[in-house]
Amino acid sequence: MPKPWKAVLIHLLLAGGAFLSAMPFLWMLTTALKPESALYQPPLLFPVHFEWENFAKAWQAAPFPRFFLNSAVMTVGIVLAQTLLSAMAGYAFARMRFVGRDLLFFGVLGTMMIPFPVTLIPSFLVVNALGWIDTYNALIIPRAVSAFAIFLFRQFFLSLPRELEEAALIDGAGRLTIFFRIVLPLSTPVMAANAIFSFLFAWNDFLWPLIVTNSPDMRTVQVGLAMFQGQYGVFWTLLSAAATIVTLPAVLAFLAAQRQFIAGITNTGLKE
Amino acid sequence: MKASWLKAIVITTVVLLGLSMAQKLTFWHYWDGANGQVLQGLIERYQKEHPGVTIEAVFVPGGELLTKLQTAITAKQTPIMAISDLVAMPLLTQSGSLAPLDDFIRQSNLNLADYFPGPLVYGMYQGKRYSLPVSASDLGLFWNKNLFRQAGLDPNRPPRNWDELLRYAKQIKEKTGKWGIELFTQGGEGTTWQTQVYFWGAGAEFLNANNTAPAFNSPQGVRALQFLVDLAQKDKVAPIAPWGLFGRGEAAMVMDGSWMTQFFPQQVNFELGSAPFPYPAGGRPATNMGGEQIFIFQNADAATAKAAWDFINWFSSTPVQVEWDRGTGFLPVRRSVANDPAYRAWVSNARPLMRPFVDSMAFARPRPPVARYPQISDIFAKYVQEALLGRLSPKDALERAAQEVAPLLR
Repeated sequence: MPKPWKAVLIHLLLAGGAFLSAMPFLWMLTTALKPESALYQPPLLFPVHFEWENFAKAWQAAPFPRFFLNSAVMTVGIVLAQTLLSAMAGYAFARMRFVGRDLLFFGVLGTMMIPFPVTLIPSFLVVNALGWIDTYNALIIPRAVSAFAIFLFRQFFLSLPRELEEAALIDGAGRLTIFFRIVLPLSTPVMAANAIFSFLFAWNDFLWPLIVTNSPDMRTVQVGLAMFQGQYGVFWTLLSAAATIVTLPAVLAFLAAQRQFIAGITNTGLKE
Repeated sequence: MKASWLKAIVITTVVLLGLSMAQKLTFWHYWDGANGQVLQGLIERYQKEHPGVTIEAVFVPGGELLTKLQTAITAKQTPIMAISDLVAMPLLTQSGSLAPLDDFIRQSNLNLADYFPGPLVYGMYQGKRYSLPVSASDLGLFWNKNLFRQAGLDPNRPPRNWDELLRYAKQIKEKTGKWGIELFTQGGEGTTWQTQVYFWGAGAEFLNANNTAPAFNSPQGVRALQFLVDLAQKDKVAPIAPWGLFGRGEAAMVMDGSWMTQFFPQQVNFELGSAPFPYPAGGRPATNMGGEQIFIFQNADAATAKAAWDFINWFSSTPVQVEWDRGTGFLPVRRSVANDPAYRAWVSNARPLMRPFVDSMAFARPRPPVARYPQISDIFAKYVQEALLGRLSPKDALERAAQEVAPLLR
């Protein structure tokens, strides 16, 4: 009977993989619960210290409630804008015929090759000229579309049966009606996948929010985390405690959308 | 006629009121945690004593302050004043966006001779001074008294020269099986700035006097690097391993910064000692130095620049600096602070480990103030690593480093 043996092997492999993915989180959690005097002891997988005070100290070290609000506004804005605008662009690239479409699409893909630091100063100059420094506009609008999301949506839309849209067209539906009433309802997996990607991107973004904000009222959680990485030594226990708090929304969002996320990723590989 | 008179009066009044009432000074810094709180306390007191002046301190995480300053300079959106790690000062002074301070210094009779010479080197560009040191840190020796005892060494007697350092390290390795001394072998500026202490101690220079050519490939430099290579390769008393062995009690001695007098006591479970870093017989006492410099941006108007200078002048004054250094654990940048009785008493009572670091400021040396220092440092560290790993002889390693560094200085 080779089958049960095989199942055990597969599960062992999966358990190993799960352990590897969970280990950094365990390490973070146990470090967050360590007293500073235990810092140099080897990392632990299960907590033996319970220094809950670290969480309170970390929370009070910076105006985290405000940072959370700012991160939430920015993240929701980016996720909504990226999903809607990138889906529209992706649809145009997948279905509409116009001069220079493929050239334009490759142009969009090409922007993914440009590293962010290269565009940092030009982007800052634009945002500054618009008077957006220290506003949500600066945090959201420059990232309202994503080339990667456009690519993701286009590939997905190419896999949708064209007949559905043609039927709607015959019934007299316009492009926008087709897009909103036919195409988007069929696209929940890719929308979920894109929402997760853009959520993680926005929630974890550090450099751009730091550059375009000055006032503590406009800073985000990642900038808050940087407070524990001092110029003269890192406050590991507090940093881990704060990182645990800050990572929680991202982990919860991932768990909530996990099923759609995986379906979305596997579907985008298909064509026709 | 009447109308224009009225207009003139109104404008003058508004301008005068504006001058006397609101003087808002934005100030970018990276002093986090407790240091940031001490700064905020000082600022609040200054504002109380100087009604009409508001100082808006903006915290920017240390690693990104330079990026943010450079972006701001490009967009001409600079704050009124800022601080920077001294290593970045050459880049900032050469940007042409800082205001020269010489006139202010003269008018305020600020005594530059009271400053330690090391940190003053930064901020000079084409004969003008653009920044003032406001805090310092330096490197020294920490040792683990428990391991010294176990090895049969006097726990209260640190090595005073390289021969003793080597002898102690060997004895520790022999008697306890632990490493004698920990070196920073992970490359980058961490390796370079520690290695410079050995080089300077042995009488070598890092660059020539005009900072136009490498000078570390001198016989003294080779001797210093040979000493380090022998520690790691011949006597095997120093590990080539990730940093942190000293903190875990796996190495008996380490070169580390003055700020660790604050952190080590809470983090380690052994008795600590600290001393100026030893230098070889026939050499000279030397250590490396870090810290921050403060400066004003050029695009501030005259009145604003003057208001910013008044704050800097107040912040730099001996009594405020005493308070600042006591609150933060930064080392004094002025002799009058280092010799202040209240400051010295505080060090002896509250931070005895810090004393050798305060004393070392007198011979702390600046890293060469050249804009391309970061690249030079990386090249130097890379070849130090090659030598420590035994892949190149110290002489070859330094020659090759010099060949790569030379074009960067031309």
